[in-house]
Amino acid sequence: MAHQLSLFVENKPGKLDRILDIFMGLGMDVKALTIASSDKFGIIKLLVDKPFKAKEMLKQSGFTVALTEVVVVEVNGIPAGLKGITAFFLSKNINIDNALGFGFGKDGSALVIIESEAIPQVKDLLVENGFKVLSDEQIYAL
Amino acid sequence: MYWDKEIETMSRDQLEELQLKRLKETLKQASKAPFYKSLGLEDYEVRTLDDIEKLPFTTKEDLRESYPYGMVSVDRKDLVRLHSSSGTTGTPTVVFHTIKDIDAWSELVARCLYMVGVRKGDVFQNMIGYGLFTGGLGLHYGAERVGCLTIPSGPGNTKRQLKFLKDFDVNFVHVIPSYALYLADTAESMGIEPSRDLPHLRTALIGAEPHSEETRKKIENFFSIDAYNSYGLSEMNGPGVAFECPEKNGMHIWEDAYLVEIVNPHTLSHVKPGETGELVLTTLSREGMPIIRYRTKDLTSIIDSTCACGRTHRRITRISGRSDDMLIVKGVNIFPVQVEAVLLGTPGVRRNYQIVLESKGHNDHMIVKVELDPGMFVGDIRGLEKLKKSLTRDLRDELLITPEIELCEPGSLPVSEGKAVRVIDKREE
Repeated sequence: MAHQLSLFVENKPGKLDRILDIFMGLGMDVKALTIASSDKFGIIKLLVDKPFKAKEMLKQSGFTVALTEVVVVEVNGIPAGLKGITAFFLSKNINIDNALGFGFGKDGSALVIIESEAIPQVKDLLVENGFKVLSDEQIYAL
Repeated sequence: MYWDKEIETMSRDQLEELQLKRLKETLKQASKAPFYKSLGLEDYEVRTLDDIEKLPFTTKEDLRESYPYGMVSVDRKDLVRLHSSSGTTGTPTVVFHTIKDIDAWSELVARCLYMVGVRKGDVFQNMIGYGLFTGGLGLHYGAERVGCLTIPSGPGNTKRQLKFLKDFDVNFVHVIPSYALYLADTAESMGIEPSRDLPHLRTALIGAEPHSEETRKKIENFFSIDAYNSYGLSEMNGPGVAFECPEKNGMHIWEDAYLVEIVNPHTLSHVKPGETGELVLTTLSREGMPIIRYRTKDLTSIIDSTCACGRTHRRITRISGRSDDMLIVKGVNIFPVQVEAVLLGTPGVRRNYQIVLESKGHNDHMIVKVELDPGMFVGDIRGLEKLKKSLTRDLRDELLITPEIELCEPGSLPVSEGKAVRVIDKREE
């Protein structure tokens, strides 16, 4: 399973700047980044090429960090391509906890990073039903 | 069963009669001290015990300002002892004793010891600090008064403590609860099995620092002994003010020697019977330095019911906090220790916290900042919201007001030891 970094940080300027400093020092590549803020704190999510090493380094620098499992699916455009997945999830009663979707390439293909409960089973289901699920190597090499 | 049966089992009426007589004598004696002279103490008229409420309070500040000799009410050449409280900053507070005071204090301590089964011939190891601190010498004199072989070991040198306990067949010890737990750990690591190696040890007197019922049980279970809670403060001599009897349900406060009041720390008027408030004490048998209505800052309540041990002197409950820590938020009394207790019982957060008080319109607003336990963070915002919700609910149940929880990064709040700023009050006057 591919892993994504999740960081608990106070909602203050300079936090992401410090994280990126650490990544640059490690030569780490960031594939995707989201920030979700509550009033006083935020969760920064990062998809990087070496998540376990990144977690160690962040921890040593005093960050509160966890790894969560994600599945990355390639779809033929958003909304049309993604609709296939959401309809499938609805039929299986699977809830999406977090997602990041973005288009790339001129052909309209898009990637969706999905977090859900019981991600390994979700991944298997998607593969079995013919969805284009990226392998860990493919994800980390994006 | 009693060290001084007549006094200890005196009827309430007789006891109060004695108190009134001694209160009048005390006021007369105290009026000789420069501090009380300046307050015009001799002009106050006391006819009944209830008249105590008309008298002025004495605070720790007063003692400081009277440093060095302003509270002394006898000729200085009659003083034989000086003790000082363990204040860490500024001018120390000092307490003086005449030979008669030392004698009366020793009697009170002897009474406590006899109450928990200490008898002539017992061997006593006093693991509490000697010197300016009252704990060591106070118990020392009381134990000698009972007729015990007294070992003034003081604290520290733990291996030697254990050796003495074993070699001298020690029967009882006086020890700070945290040191008793350390002693237990050391004994365990040395392979000492108390029920086998320390068969004579039967009692521990624990005091001088706040401790929980759980700590007492731990000490009792490890050493297979009884542990009794002791309360005292240097301003009121030291140990021997209040002490548990074998019932272990509250501490008998020696009312022939101390006049007890429980006041609301803000209004300073008496609380209703049984209610918690600040303990205020007046010495009734001290001549060198009598103190009138001393605000101890310790919070407790009086247990008025009769005790199965037969003593008529009332009991006070375990000290539940210090009144100078108390906050009033939305009209509710709150102690930081209550917040601490909730945090200790909540997985996912660390012990460190900060309370911020603000004004929102005309209302008080309380924010509790708490550090997230990094080991419990699983990466989702939902878990954090859940944690905030359950913490809010638990704190509301404990404090009776709803605080706002602010989750902070581990290590971002000032550390808990020493003079950490726990409460920041930004409310407008």
